[in-house]
Amino acid sequence: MKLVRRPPAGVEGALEHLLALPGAVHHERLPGTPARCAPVPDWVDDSLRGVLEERGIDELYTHQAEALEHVRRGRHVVVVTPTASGKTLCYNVPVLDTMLRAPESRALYLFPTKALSQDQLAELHRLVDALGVDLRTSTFDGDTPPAARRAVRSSGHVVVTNPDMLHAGILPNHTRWVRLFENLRYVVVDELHSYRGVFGSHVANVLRRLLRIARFYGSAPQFILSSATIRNPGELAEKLVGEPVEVVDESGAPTGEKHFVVVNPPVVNRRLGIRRSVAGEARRVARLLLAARVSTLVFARSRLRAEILTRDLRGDLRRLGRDASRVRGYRGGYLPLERREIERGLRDGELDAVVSTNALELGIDIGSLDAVVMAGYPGTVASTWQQAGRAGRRRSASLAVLVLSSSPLDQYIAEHPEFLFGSAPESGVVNPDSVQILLAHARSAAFELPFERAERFGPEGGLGELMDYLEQHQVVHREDDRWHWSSPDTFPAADVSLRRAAPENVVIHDARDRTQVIGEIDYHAAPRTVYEEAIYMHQGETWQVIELDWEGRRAYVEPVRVDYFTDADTRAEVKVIEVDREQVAPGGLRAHGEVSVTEHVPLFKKVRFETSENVGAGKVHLPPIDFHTCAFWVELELDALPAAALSDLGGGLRGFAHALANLAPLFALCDRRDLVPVPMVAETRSGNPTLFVYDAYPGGVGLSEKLHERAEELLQAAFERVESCQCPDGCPSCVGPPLELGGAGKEIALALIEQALHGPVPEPEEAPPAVEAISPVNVGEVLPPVDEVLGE
Amino acid sequence: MKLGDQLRRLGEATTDTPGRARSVALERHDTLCELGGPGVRGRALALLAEGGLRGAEVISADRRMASGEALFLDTETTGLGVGPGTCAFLVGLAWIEPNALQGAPALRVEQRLMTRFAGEAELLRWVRDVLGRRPWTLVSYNGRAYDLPLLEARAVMQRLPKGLPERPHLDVLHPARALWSGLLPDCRLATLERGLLDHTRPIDLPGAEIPAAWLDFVREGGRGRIDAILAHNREDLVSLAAISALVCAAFRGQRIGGKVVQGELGRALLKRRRLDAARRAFERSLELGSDQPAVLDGLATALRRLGRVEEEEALLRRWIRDAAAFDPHPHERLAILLEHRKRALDEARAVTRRALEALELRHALHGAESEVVERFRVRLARLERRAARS
Repeated sequence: MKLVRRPPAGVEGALEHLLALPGAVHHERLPGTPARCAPVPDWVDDSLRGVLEERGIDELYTHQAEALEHVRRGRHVVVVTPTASGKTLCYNVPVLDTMLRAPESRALYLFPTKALSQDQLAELHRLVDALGVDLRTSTFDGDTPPAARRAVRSSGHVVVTNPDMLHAGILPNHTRWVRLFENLRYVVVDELHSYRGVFGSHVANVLRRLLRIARFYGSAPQFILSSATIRNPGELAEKLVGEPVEVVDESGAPTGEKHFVVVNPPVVNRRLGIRRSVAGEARRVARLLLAARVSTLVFARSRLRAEILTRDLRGDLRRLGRDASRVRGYRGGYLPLERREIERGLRDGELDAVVSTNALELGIDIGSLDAVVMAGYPGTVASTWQQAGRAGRRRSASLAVLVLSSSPLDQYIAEHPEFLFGSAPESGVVNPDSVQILLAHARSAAFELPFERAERFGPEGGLGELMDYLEQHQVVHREDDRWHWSSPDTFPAADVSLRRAAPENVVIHDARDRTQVIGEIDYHAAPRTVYEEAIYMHQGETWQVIELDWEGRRAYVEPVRVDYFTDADTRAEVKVIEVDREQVAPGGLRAHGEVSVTEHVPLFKKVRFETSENVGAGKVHLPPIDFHTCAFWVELELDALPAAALSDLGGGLRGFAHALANLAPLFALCDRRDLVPVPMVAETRSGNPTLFVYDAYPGGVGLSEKLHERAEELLQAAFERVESCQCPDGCPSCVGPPLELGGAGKEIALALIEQALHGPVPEPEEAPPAVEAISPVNVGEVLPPVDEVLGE
Repeated sequence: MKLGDQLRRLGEATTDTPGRARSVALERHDTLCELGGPGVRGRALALLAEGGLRGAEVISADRRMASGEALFLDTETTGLGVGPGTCAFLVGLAWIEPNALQGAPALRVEQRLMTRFAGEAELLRWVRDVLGRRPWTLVSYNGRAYDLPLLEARAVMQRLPKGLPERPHLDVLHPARALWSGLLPDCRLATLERGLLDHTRPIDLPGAEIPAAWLDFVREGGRGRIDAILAHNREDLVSLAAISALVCAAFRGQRIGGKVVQGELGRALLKRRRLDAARRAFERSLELGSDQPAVLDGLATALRRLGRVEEEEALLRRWIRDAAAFDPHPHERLAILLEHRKRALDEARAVTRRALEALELRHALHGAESEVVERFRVRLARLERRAARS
């Protein structure tokens, strides 16, 4: 690597050099916006107003004032504004204002992670201290010592907790929380966008239970939610809360000028479609910024890569003749004290760069920097902006650099950078009525309070059916119009983990100390994830499965340093059980409905992180698993296919599946692994070639439904990605490597996508193809889950 | 897809459940039990009639406890947790009623049994009313951790106005454990009943089967094991009354049990700083033939704290004399007493030197005990310095 000769100075200088890089494919200048302010409303308590003024807040930003007004009028509200726009004020002001007037009032704050709740609590403490009133704010989570719990229960005005603790600690013991529930005025839900998929579907049910109990004690709390920018904050909030929610999404906070640069590492092997590595390119960018003395935060996709980057950048700094200790690593699990130290270091100019996993993405406060470098597309636009938002001075210009990998998603961004700058593309998806999740919470809810016939829980009119089911299994007993808990089971919530869909789990143990549990995973997902030799990613660390005890539902793992991940080659058989919605068009149809899936994993592949190359394979010996879920599918009329497509229909469908499944996270806020594509040359009933994409969780969590809703955009994106890719006959960035596809795979895939989009391409055809069910595609780069930092 | 169909696919039902309405949601079962009668349990109940809860003031700092009339509480529940899904379907309360049986006092046992969930509010109102009737002392076995919190949670669930009245609460589990844990394999009420009261129930429903038995009854009707549950609860209450009588008698100094119980009692009393009572208990334990170092040590401690130096010295010398094998502990205690309390330096030095000789010999033979040896060496050196100075 060449060293930058003359260090350019500051953001502007660095930008010039950045744009000169061969991979700089896009530069977007986002002009700064001045603050838009509104007066602090008259109704805000004088002492609170005084405290705000002491802290330099004489006026509110318009979004804060708007949110306060909605709360004032008794509405639920969701605030959707960028990082560092002062959204905590939107809930702290109404909560404190209410408590100053009615000190009996209580509020519950929900944060997705422990670290976050610590930071927000500190903020609230400062306000309360300044007010000089006796308002207790307390954290209630797994770390709260038993002796302190009693005090939190009886005298905590603001109880800060997480959904898991609410689910298993507070709701099942509500009789000890009478004070909280009788006086519950506000429920604050921060980081709303993280409550999606399986987790979000669980949390929606936990909130249903919370509201039932609040009703029982005669309170009807108002919800104040906040979210990163997503397409459907209102819809997601309403699904979680179960009632109409006002949306405040125009930020009045000032922003400095920001430059957003997209860097696509140059292709080094055109035939295999391999580009220079993300890490190497990110290092090149960061080094340039270091040379320009621009304070920089680098986001790496795993802890391993963060460590390597930290080491490399320290070396680079030394070679620039500077102190290597001015580069620091950061990862999940740091204590507030260490964070304060890093924050101070950055602020005081003692640190030049911090390399982090996405642990820093959530609202953890480390102050603002000049530049952010993202090593790989963070997986969603929402995350991208949260990470980019870490750079931003109010007065001077800042810089965000996105370095792309060769995955289809990243390459789609390379061609459509406008995707990042338009309106938010992804939707947060939850399905609170997913049957297994609903049932688990109906049990917990029945334990907490007897159900009354007039109540509603889950889909309209569904309570009777749920209760009949539970009564047949002797879990509840009906007496007149009430169902009472009637099982000797004393703690049903303990059997339900909010981060998992199905009740039965495979528990993952540290092989070095077999009593140590690292995590758990759904039974049905285990054959895809924890087969022997599999690489298991947990909180950004890589572990290898060295033993799987299938009968005992235990996997043993040990830490390893590898540069690849493993990808299960899932063979799945899909049968349509019921069609929900269906659009028939010339040449084929698109549909959504319930399917039965039989999954079998015969082998796995090792895929190199940086390049998506296959670097090995192995066998898996596990029994097949059956379950029901929801799927989106595209069925193509066999008779309408162009003749050329029939020569290798299997390869073409695999390519189609690769492109479609990898781009799916563009439209549903989810991880690549949450959806499984299954191409079938001849679908069981129609005999037509069909591509299924199903929700990877029993019962489904609504992802495939979202794909169906946005099928047109999804197919269009897939078409563009494949058509514009410069590889000759397939690469990991479009339809997958040619070796797995067959020679004409790319061309056929493109024809299939086109027919799915626009109907048959006019051309005669003959000779029906051999009918066979084939395996799902090799999915190129499967990025580690975006929400790994959330932990178990 | 309809929710019902999805649920059906998840699994087949296990049984059919016919609903059955019952006219009475809460049954009452009241009985009288003689205070006295044959066996240890009878004698213990007679003790209760005589002394009530006197002695309980030693167990708890709550002054109200000993003077209150005892209200015995035991519940049977639908599960073993205290979460809101568990309820107490049967509550038994018992108290002494004077002149109940031809002018003699008797234990009145009242039970209320829910035959349906709908009976709970009435049951809790009954508990509240009985509790509020007099300034009772509530007596239970593990009721502090279990029965009472559960009833309080149920009162919240039923939105019972004002909840249950607060009463001093004597949970007999803890003092019973202090007295008898060394004597019996465990301290469950049934174990105490067999081991201490020498009482065996003719037939008894195991506690673990009770939740399912009642839930079956509610689902399917048929009283089946209901009478057995009622009998079980009644037996528990009577034994609780007898055990609490023994515990209070022991703590107020009445002689009950043998040398081990007296020894344990002494230690329990010592812990509660009831020095004279502890002394008597230890002495009784010795009279009954105890030669446990813990009893001798406990008595020496009690005497020291009472300031009875001469008696303590005599005890330590007797202990040293009668010990089957050399024990450094009484030597050390005696040396301390002689040096600091009696200021008899020469004697102290003599005791220390003798002990050190024995110890060094033992140390040479068996190793170990080097810390003890060291302590004696330091003591001897100091005593010799002091002797040289004076």
